[in-house]
Amino acid sequence: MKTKIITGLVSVIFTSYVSIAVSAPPHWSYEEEQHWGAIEEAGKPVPQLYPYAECGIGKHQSPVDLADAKIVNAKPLNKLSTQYGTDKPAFFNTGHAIQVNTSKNFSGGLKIGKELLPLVQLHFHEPSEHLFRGKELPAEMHFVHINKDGRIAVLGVAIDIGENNAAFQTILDNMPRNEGEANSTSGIKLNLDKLLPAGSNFANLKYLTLAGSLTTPPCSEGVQWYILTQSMTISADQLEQLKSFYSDNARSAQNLNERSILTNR
Amino acid sequence: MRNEFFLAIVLSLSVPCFAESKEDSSGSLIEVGQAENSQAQARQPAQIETADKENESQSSQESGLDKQSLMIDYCRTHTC
Repeated sequence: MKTKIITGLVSVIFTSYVSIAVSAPPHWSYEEEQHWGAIEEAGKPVPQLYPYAECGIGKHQSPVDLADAKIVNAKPLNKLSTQYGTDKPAFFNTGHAIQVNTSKNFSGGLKIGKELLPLVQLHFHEPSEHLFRGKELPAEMHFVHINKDGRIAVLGVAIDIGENNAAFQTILDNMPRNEGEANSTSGIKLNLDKLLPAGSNFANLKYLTLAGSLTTPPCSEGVQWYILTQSMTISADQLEQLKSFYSDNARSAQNLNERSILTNR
Repeated sequence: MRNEFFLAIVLSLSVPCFAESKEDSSGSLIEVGQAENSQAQARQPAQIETADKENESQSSQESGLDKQSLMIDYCRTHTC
């Protein structure tokens, strides 16, 4: 009787473990970027069999080569300003990038016109994902914001080599080395404004904007991109430290498919 | 005899008048009833519509908040 109960319990635990393991999204890597759309989720019927299909068939994918774009400077655009300030964030190694998650009571965000979109996280790519004047820059930082409808707006900031950035060093110093690990109890204060290009007018940022997607699987479209026309700087040593976490974690430029880019430059 | 004659005339006149007045009043009642009914009917879809709109906006707000919290959870655990 006891054996039967134990066997039953073990099988229940095993079944629930398997179902959790099966429900996790399939693994992806930058090496197989060209095939993201064809990655299969075992045991699922079509179309769920291809959870990253949008990466392959989407028409508004990100990143793009900004030099290829027809940049329109005609319409008056929404004023863009950051209201980030200081937070005690969590430092998270996602397995694909180093990421800073804002705390749950953080009230800072990106103001687009009159709407304030809360900042959820920021992360780094090396080299840059967007191409500037046809070239990649050493790195790129993405501030991810999500509005009340679940829509995503990303503020992209190109990173060039130059002056050391102390706020970026705080991120590097507190980032866990192991994939999937988070450092959420450090209590370290991070001034997020210090990550923006030096001399930026936070109340009226100059930007390029276009409709795009997440740059990682599932590459979901409907993301509005705001890319600053100025870059921020980190030192060469800091770039090496960033590369010691993740290197070549940048998706290649995608087809614009007749998208135009607007600017308030 | 004269009294009976007058009574008969009065009665014969008063019955149609009463009947007429009764018809009138019953007609107006129906009209009022119909009007009230039609008003009520007219009001009902509006009320339902308003209630629907309230429910819709509430549910869209809720689903919006759900979407926001789902997206936030996703983006905190993935690179996005």
